[in-house]
Order: sequence, then structure tokens, then C-alpha cells
Amino acid sequence: MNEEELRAAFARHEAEAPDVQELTNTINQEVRRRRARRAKVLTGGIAAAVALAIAVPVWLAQRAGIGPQTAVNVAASATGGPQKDLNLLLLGIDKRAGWTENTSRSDTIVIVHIQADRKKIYIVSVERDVLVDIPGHHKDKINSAFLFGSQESAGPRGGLDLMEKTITQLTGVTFDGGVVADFSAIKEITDTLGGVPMCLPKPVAIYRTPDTAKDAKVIGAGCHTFPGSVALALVRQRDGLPNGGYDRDRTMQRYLVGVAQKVSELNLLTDAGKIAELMKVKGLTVDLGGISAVELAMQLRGIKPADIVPLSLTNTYVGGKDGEGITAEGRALLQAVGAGTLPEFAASHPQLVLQR
Amino acid sequence: MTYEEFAQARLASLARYAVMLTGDGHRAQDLVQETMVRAHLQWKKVSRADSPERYVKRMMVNLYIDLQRGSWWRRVLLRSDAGAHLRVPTDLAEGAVNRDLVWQALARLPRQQRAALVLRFYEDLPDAEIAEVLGCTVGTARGYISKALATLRARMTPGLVSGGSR
Repeated sequence: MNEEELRAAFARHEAEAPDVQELTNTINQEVRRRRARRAKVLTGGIAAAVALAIAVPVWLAQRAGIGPQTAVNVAASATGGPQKDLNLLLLGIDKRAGWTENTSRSDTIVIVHIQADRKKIYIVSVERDVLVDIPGHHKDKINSAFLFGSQESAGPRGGLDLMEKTITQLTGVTFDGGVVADFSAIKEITDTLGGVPMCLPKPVAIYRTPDTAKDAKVIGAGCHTFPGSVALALVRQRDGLPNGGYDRDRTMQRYLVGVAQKVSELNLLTDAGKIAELMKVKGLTVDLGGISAVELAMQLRGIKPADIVPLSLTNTYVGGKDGEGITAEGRALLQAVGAGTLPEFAASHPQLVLQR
Repeated sequence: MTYEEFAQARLASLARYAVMLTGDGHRAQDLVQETMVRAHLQWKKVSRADSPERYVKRMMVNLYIDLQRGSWWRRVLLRSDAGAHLRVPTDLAEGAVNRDLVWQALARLPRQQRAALVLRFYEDLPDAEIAEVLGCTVGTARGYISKALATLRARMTPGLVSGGSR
């Protein structure tokens, strides 16, 4: 075989090229379709995404001190004045369709810490099986705090409330607001963003129970943009990961960074109207009202995914079904949350920072 | 230059280029269509490139090389009307099967290597531009080409050798 044969082979197949007129029509049609879809994304549940990632904070701003009274301060700080650190709590609950309001646990627990200068956001995941003292209850796995709090028609707000108290007792951190998202909210947020990009260091096998593991659908390592159904399956997957819930927390962090990336690409934080619409996503409970959320979103619009620093506890599996302990390193992390020293902590504990 | 002017001037040659990459008209249609849809949607960015044509070719190569994970590729192949516009190559009707041993051997090359061959022997690009389109160094691009040629030679000859030894 020589190069001439190769050239000849290419030349012979030129005739297979698709028809240009048909191509032009299909391309134009598809461009119109995607533009329409894009426009819909921009007006849809966008705000929810903001809440979840970075902007979780956004919503919550109202509650712990950025109420109407202080809205003026927030607005002033948006133009350069002093502001304070903000802590928000983001919970992902396992509520399925048909479940009543008081039967869910929160399997994803993320503390979102926004620095006073609004230049960095630290997110700290707390593994759901960690044993803690739940105020007014016995020592139990931390995900039960949400369940206990949501009883007697207290619902997600009650669950969020008790979870906040539990974490405050554990770390000393006080919260400025919180967001609760169920499965359907994650899916809807992802789809309204037009998919969320995530980079997986290793392949992940998706299955729900061990006996279905052999039929698992495997999602390959590398970077992909996932639709809502796949993103949800990924952030739910715990079985089969070497460090179980800890690895799942990392997947969730990758998802949140991806949401932040999408939010920043779509410029969602620069448009008050879009942010206001975000709060309407079904299955998303946002503890806060209006205006100051918008202000906070404006402050955060310069945040890029690289400005988000995800931290997590490390595996402390002690065996049995009694739940997880916390390592000395993990305690130091939780203390840093309470003390507001996460930047220093992250710098001196790179092993707890998500590897991207 | 507007997108429309670009498509008017270049779509036919990009469609042929897609055939050389993918090996058949059907997949070429999906590849060129997906590439051009994306180019159209981001035309501002594309038109700012030194050479929009090279930029689009690079987009296409990336999509082609990327498709192993099946993301967009699987999606488009699942379209119900897939193949509706497929044209039967007149060439194959002649039963020139042997002549297409080269084509079959090309189909089994790793995608980067095939892309490098297309850029060199179909598009007649110099090494530096091949490297630019593939997003690799010149050395790597040359490596793809020589490795691909060696593989093709090895695949084209064994039949003859074993046939002669009987």
C-alpha cells in the first residue's frame, strides 16, 4: 500500500458526501430548535440552580440577619462596602414520589460558606451516617435530624431547622439560611440548565440495590454534560464506591461545581428576574424571601467554579450499623467551619480538598 | 463573514471531509450536521478565529474523536429518521470490494490516526496545521501518521504473504 492508493481511496468515497441542500435545511431547523430550547432554559427554573450551587446562599440570605432590615447593608456592600461571612445549609433528601412530608432523611448535607469578600465559596460535606447528638433526641446518625425535625407537619422547614441546630451544636457555626432539595428538584434544576457538566475521576456503576449490581449501567470516567436523570442517578449512587457515602459526597460536590459553572456560563447571577424565577422549582424549599437574595446573587456573579473549594470528612468507618465516627482531621475541619477559618484550613489540609 | 456565507462556501467540502473521517455518508451527515449546528450557534466566536474554516474542522475532529463515549453520537444515531437521507454510493454497486480493502483497514485505525491521515492525504495540510487541528504537537501528529501508515501496510499485506507460502 502506498500513499497514492490512500489518496485514491479518499477520492473514490467523495461521492458519499451528504447532499448540501438537505444538510442546510436540517442544520437550520436544528439551530432554530436549540435556540428555542435555550430561550426556555433562560427563563425557566434557572434560579433553582443558583440556589443549589453557589447561590444556595443567595436564597437564604434573608433568614439569619439579612432580612429587610439589613437589605440596605447588603445592597451597600454590593458596591464595595463591608459585609460578613455567610453560612448556608444545603440538604438533599430522599423523598420519593408519593412519600409524605415526614418520612425523609437528608442523605446529602452540605455547608456552604461564603467569604465576606465574596471571592471564594467553601463547601463542606458532612457524611450522612456520622453519629451526632441531635438536640432533643438521642445520639443518632445525622441524617435522622431532618426526619425528626419534619414530624408533626413541620415538613421540610422543620427538618431543615433541626438539622441546622444539630450542626450548630456540632461545629459552632450558625446559619444564615438553608435549602432543601428532593430528587425531583435536582432533576429539574439540571434539565432547566440544559444539563450539568461533571468530571468523574473513575467510572461509576449506577444501580440501586446490590442484587441489581450486575445489570449496572456504567458511566465512564472523564468529563460529560449530564441530563437530569443521569445527574440524579450519579449523586444518589453510594453502593459500589470504595468509600461509600464519602465518595458520594464528592460526587455531589462535583455536581455543585458543575451547576456553578453552568450558572456562570449562562450569566444567571446578573439578572434579577431569572433569580426570582428560580425559587419556583417544585420540590425545592427555600428559606427566604425576596430582594436581598438578588443582591447577594449580584455580589456572587464574579464567582467562577475555580473559586469554589469543596472539602469533606474522610472515611472513619468503624464497622457495624451504628454509624460513623469523626477523625481528628474531620473534627478540625468542623471546628474551622465554626471558627470561620476555612481558608487557612483548606490551605493546610489539601488532602481534604476535592481533587479536580 | 456571516455564517450563511461561510456555509455557502464551505459546507460541501466539510461534508466530504466528514465522510473521510467517519467512513460513510450516514455518519458523515450526523457529524457535519452536529458540527455546523454548534458553529452556527457560536458563530461570533468561530468568526473571530484566524481561520474559521480551520476552527470548524477542528471542532469536527474533536467531535469525531470524542464520540467513543457515545454522548452526542448515540443520541443522533437514535434519531428515528437516521439514514433517511442516506445515499447509496455508486461505487459499491460496481462490486469493487477488493479495492476497498484500504477503506476497511482505515475503519479499524484509532480515530486520531485516521484523522491525521485525512488531514495529510485528503486535505493536504502541512504538519504544523495538522497538529493545530488535532490539538497536539507536531511530533505527535507525525507519529500518528507514520504509525497509521505502518498499520495499514501490515494489514494490507499479510493475506498476500500467507497466500504465497502455501
